[in-house]
Formats: sequence, structure tokens, C-alpha cells
Amino acid sequence: MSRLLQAAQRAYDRTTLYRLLYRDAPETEASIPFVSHTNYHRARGVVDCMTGEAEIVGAVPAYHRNVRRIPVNVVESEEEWILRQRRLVRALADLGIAVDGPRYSFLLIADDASGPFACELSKGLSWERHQASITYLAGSRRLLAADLAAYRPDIVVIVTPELSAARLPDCDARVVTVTHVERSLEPGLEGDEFVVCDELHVLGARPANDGTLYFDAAQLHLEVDPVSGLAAATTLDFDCFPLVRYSLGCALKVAPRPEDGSGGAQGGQTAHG
Amino acid sequence: MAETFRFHEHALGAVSIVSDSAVFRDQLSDYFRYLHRVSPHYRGVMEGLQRAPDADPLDLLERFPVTDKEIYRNVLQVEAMDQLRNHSFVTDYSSGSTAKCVLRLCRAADDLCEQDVTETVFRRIDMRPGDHFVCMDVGAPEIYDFYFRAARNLGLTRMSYLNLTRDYAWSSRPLQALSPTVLLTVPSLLVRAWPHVRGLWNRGMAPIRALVHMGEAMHPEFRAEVMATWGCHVYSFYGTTEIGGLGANCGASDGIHFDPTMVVPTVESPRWIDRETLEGEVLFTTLHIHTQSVVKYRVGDLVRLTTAPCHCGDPSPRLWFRERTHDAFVIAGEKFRYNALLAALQEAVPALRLLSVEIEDLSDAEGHTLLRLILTEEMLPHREALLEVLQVGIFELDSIYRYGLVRFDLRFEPASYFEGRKVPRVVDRRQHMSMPPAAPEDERGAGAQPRP
Repeated sequence: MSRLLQAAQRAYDRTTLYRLLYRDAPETEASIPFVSHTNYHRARGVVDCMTGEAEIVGAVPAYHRNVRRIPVNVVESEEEWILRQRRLVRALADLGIAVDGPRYSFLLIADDASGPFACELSKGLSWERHQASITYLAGSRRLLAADLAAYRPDIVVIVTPELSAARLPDCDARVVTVTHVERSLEPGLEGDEFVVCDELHVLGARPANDGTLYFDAAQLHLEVDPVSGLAAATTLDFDCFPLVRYSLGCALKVAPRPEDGSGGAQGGQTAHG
Repeated sequence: MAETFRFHEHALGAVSIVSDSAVFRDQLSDYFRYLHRVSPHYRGVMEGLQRAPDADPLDLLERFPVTDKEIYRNVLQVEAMDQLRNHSFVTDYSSGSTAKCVLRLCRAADDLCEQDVTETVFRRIDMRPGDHFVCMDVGAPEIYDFYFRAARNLGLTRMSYLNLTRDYAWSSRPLQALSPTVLLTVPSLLVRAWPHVRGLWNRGMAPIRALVHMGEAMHPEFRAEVMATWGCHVYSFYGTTEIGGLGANCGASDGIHFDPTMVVPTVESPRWIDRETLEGEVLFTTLHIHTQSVVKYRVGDLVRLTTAPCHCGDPSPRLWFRERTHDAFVIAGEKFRYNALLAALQEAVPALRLLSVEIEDLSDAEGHTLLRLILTEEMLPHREALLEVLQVGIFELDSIYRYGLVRFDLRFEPASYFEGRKVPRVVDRRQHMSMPPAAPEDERGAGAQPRP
């Protein structure tokens, strides 16, 4: 049995929402429907979307703190937090930022709306023993330049959608941009990117001039909905909040890392319409 | 006219701070009616007391049993999850009564009332447009993100979170060029960073106008040294995850001003100092919290409360932290209870009975803090299992270990070590970390701040 089918059957067995959506236990991959945030109207609340088997350790912040497509919070267990951290580590590696290498000084640039999302990114980077400070875009470009001069970061991560790499005040740092999947219609324009979504936080990385989203296929299955042409994600190892063939609402060119082999889209497979 | 507050002596001897205004009384009645509607637990309590939710609210408050951390985690958290079925929410968390975390679920209105308290605190310390606000910590940036939201609402435009790492010298480097006017941090981290940041400016000439500390008490000697070295005011921001932010001191007093129309304090066995001042273990009732609200919640602090007028003119009552009611210690701003540590170790090694904890300073290169467990020799075969619990099995201690801010040591002693003598559960030998006994009235120490 494929891991995708296993995930779908577990979601059916353990959550009210997927039981409502599937009606019958899926027997084959072909019988697993593609779903989207629209279908979440069937959930009477977050409890219907959870397995109830794992202890919740927190909620995944959406990219914009006041906007989320699905009408409930995405909560996570410790195991799912570990998987999220692995996605970040993988994304760093895919951008050539070695986890076992030197400790970097990151400066994240956030704003009011993206602050909570940036905080989770900061905590993930700190967990890897990097310094990950955050400055907020609330004043003038002059103040941002002053913060860049004070922090002297090795790597700047632009989290806020209100700033682009091209408009960043002069600094010597390497720049990585956080790009929400819904804003990723022209991949590569922003240079190196963390590609993110509201439900999974960091999805993967897209190196500059590549246009391909690299992701951790050991835990994540990304594929194309053949009808809509949109990318869909499945969390293969969920234990609290499953997503199965869940539409990311965008077309993506995706590739698992070659050494992952099993699961997910095939190497270099295009998942854009 | 500003609302005034007084001590209310309940019939059974407990004392709460209340207002005589009709609005306050209505607010308290509405609160119990709300709890009766939304909380099966508190509805059950009222039924057990044979009191209707619209009974005399002060009588109801007195008769309510204490809410402890176990109820908060095992009952109210589950109720909140159900209550929030169709609401968007954010989570806040703190260390639990076991090694697992305690979650507080906040919907938008709860977040806004927290922000209201925070903005009041920031106004009290005279934060204003033009200030440059920096928060400094090894983690928990979401707390500061929240504070920045409050600061922006007061008109500030420059703010950042400075992430300290185990290399304090390197990671605190940006502070000099940042030159903040308001710095918010955790005392135990400032103690460790102090050798690297104390000399950034000429004595008494730091750009920092206000140092705000939260999360824990600040040693009075260290507080005085910071004030003299940087030439700044030091303010303390008291709160806990469960009750949220409570308040801060003003420039005229080091007592924490707070608003009983939001949080009502109750002391069950008060020791009166004078007609306007008493001491005892405080229980808090959170009128302002919609989700996971608590009645007479035991935070574990012995405090002094006064309704005496403050020189600043603010009629709100004030609170001073005295000491904790349980054995606990702080590392890198995170609080740990002795009992939680013991419970986590016993989960791995059920035979463990006797435990003493020692904490010492280490050099930066060695890992900053040494946490030593003293155990009986029969625990020697379990050494690796016990170390593993310390490294990865205790919420928040795992992060601090991961960040390289603590090292562990196990010492094994004959069982006789623990016999016939009163071995302290926790011995803290670190500089500026072992708080002196409660100061006399005329030397009121700064409040201690369980981490919001």
C-alpha cells in the first residue's frame, strides 16, 4: 500500500472531517479525492480536523496573522513540529546553507501581519543554533537601513510581502525571500526563496534562477491535481492534523531531493498547469 | 472620576480587592453567568456549591475552590478547545506542573485584552513615539512580537527583537549600534550578558531610558547596578501565561499597579500589615479573559497587596512579589518547578525517590549554567536514562539545552546523605540569581515576574 493511501486511510479512520469528506474508506489512490480549503466548511471546528490522539503543542501561525483560508486553526503535535523543523533544515540545505556549517547571523524583516510567522521562522533557525533576530518594517527606509547596519547580518530573510529584495537598502548580506505559495506565480524573481503556506509553514526552498520547489519527500507528498492543475500536499506522517491531497491553491514546479526516493512527486516533475 | 478599590473581607476570612461601583458588581455577576454558560467545570463547581450563577458575586467568589495548574491543563484547556471550535485562536504556553507544556488558547478578544494591559504598562513607563524599542532574549520571540504590536499602537516606529545565543559577547554586539531607548529583557539573561554590555556607554549615559524586565525577579543588587551603570529607570512587568500580563510599577514606586476590574486578587489567609496593606498567597480571578478564564487561580506567589495611595496619583492598587510557594528555579528566563523535574525523572525511573538540585554558574565557553542532580547511589545504573530526560524530555529545558545554555551533571551519594538532615530541594549558587529573603517594608523589592 502506498504511503499516500495509508495517510488517506488514517485520516479517514481518525478524523471526523475526512470521514465526512470521503464517506467510505479509500481503497485505492484513485479513490482519494483532491480537497481544498472550501471543503473545510464541513468541519464544525478544529476538533473535527484533528485525530485527538496526539497532544497539541501549539498552532501553526498563518503567513498573515489575520488571514487563513481554512476556517480553523492548524494545530500541531510535537512530532509534527519536528517534521516542520526538518522541512526548514531541508530548505536551508537546498539553498546551500549547511546545517552543520558555521553559525550565521540572520536578520528577519517582518511587519505587523507577518510577525507571528517570522517568530516561528526565528525559533526554527535558533534551534539550529543560528542567531535569528527580527526587525519590523514600521517606519521609514532610513530606520530599516539603520537596523541593517546595527545587526550586520550574514543573511537577511525578507518575511514581509511589503518589501522586495530589489528595494532592500544596501547591505552585504545574502538575501532570502519568504514567498507565500499564492504569490509565487513568477518563481525566481526574488532570488533564493523559502516557499511557505499557511497550513505547513515552510514548504520547501526555491533557489534563485531555478524555479523548482525542492521539498522533503520523506514526509511530504506533493502532486498535481490533474483537473485543476494545482499543487496538492499530503502530510504522510501526521499524528494530529492531517492534510491529504490538500490543494495549495497554486501551480508549482516541484522536485523532491534526489536521495529521498520514495514518495512525493518524481524528480523534476512539473506541477504547474 | 477614577474607580477606587478596597479590601473586601469575605465571611470566611479571605480577602479580595474589589470596587464598590455598581458596574464592577454587575461585571462580576456577568462573569459568573458567563462561566456557568461556557464552562462545564465551573458550572459543576457552582452546582456543587448549590449556588446559582446570579447569587451574590462576592459570596460566590469566596466559596469557589482554588483552580490549580492541573485543572487548568487537564480540564480548562480541553474545554477551551471545544469552546473555540469555530474561532480562530493563538496559543501561548508555559512550563507545566509536569514536564509537558501548559497551553493557553486565546481568541481575538483575549489577545486584544492582553494588548490593552500591555499598552497600559507601556504608557506607565512613558513609552512614546520616537522611542526605539528593543527586546532581547534567547527565544520566545512571539512574546515580543506581541509587545511590538502594543508599542506600534502607541506610535512607535522602530523596534526589533535581538536574539541572544550562547555566545553572549557575539550575539549582543548589535546593542551598541542599535542604541535603544527602551530595552525589555529577562533578568537571568541580562545577568549573563552584563559583562559584555555594561560598558557599551559611559557610566550613567546609556541611551536606554527604561529597562523593563519580565519573566522573573531581578536581584535588588543587580537592579541597583544596572540603574547606576546605564542611568536608566528599571521597571518590572508582572504576569503569568495563565492570567496574562497584570501590570508594572510606575516611576514613583516599585509596586506593580494593576486593575482589579480585569484581574481580582484574593488572599485566603492574609497577614495584615496595616489597614491598607496585607500579605499572603495570592489567587487571581481573570474577569477580562474570555477563553480558559480562571477563578481563584493559584500562581504560586506570596505577595504584598496595598490599596494605599501611590505618589504617582494612580488610584489602582499595587502588588509586590515576596517569594514563591514552591521550589523552583530559572534558567535563561525559563521557570522550572522542582516537582515537575522530579515527576519527569520518575516517569523514566519510577524507583527514583530522593533528589536534590544544585545550580551553579559556568563560564560562557563551558555552557553558562550547570544543573546538577544529587541522587542516591542506587540510581547509578539509570544515569543515561536520567540524562536523556534532562536533555530532551522536559518542555523548555530541552530548548535551553539545545541552545547550549545549560549543562547537566549527576552526582551519586549514599542514601545516608539524605537521611537525618534537611537536604534542600534546590540550591542556587549563581550570582544575582538566588533571591534574598523578602525585603522589609521600606525596602520593597522589585516584583517577580512569572513569564507572560
